[in-house]
Amino acid sequence: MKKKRFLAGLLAAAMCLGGMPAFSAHAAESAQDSSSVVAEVDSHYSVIIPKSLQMAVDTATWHGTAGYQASVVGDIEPGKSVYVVPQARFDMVQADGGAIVDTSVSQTKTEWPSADVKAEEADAIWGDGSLSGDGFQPGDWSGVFYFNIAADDSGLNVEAPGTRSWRRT
Amino acid sequence: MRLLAAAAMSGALCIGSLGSALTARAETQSVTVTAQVDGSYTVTIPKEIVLTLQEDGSHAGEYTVDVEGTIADSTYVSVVPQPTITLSSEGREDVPCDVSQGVQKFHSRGYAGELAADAAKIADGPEASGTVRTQDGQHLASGHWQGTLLFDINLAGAPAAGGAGQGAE
Repeated sequence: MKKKRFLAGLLAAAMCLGGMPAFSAHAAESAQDSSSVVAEVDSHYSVIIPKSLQMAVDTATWHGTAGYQASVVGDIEPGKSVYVVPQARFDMVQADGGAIVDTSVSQTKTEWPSADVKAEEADAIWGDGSLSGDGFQPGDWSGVFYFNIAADDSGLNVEAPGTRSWRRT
Repeated sequence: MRLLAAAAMSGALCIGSLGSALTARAETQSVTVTAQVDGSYTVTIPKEIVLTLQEDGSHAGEYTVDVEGTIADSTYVSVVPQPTITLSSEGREDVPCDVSQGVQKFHSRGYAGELAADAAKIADGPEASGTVRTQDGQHLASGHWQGTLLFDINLAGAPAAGGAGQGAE
């Protein structure tokens, strides 16, 4: 009740003051505020490796060789790399005789940092691979070797590959 | 009752003192009484706008703007976003984005004038929606993208002696 009396008194006093502004107010008030705009875009990539290889054997030396290419296309965050590392050795086995040739695999490029991962295959940066083995006697031979594929930002860690996909040519 | 009595008493005291000065001249004077009631309003803009991949390959995000409160019919609240912003991501080039917001002027609920194409009346719930979109359908590469969208908020068209807003949120 005391408050009401005070307000009534204030109102009456304000009326007495006549044209003087009772409150100081600006014609317009301005402010500026902001919103944060964010987007999270995940990395994605495809690894291109051969589906099959045909080894060529020099019948003078029984040395067998084959070449291939591997690459990575897609979109990788800066600071991350995709690793495509072939098995260093594998066995080529003769179909009828059971002979085995220890075959080595080497590849000139095994790491594709973000800048080397192009969006289109036409722009891809390739690594050259080669197979080599001695002792391929006449007959049919076959073998399988694997690629370790990983996306990582802390160096080569192909034992624990991350999300991966691959396309064979 | 007590309120009226208090006001009357206070008024009488004031007028009494004024009257005593006038009675000597035997004149009558009128007093013009005016009142200016300030409007108040609250503008709500999003804290965060998230852009996502669209079918056309661009990244875009929508947001809403809400204005609440009571303002004079002769005024309106303007909420104007920056027309363009820039998104940044570590190791990437900045990507510009266009901002569009159809309604940018918010009139009082009782506004009887014609509404412009970019105007609306203050109503319950969001009155305006906007979009942040990468320019020219540009695609955001992988990574964490961030930017800031500034809004200019004003109470415009206010009469010279009043109509101040109450800030923005």
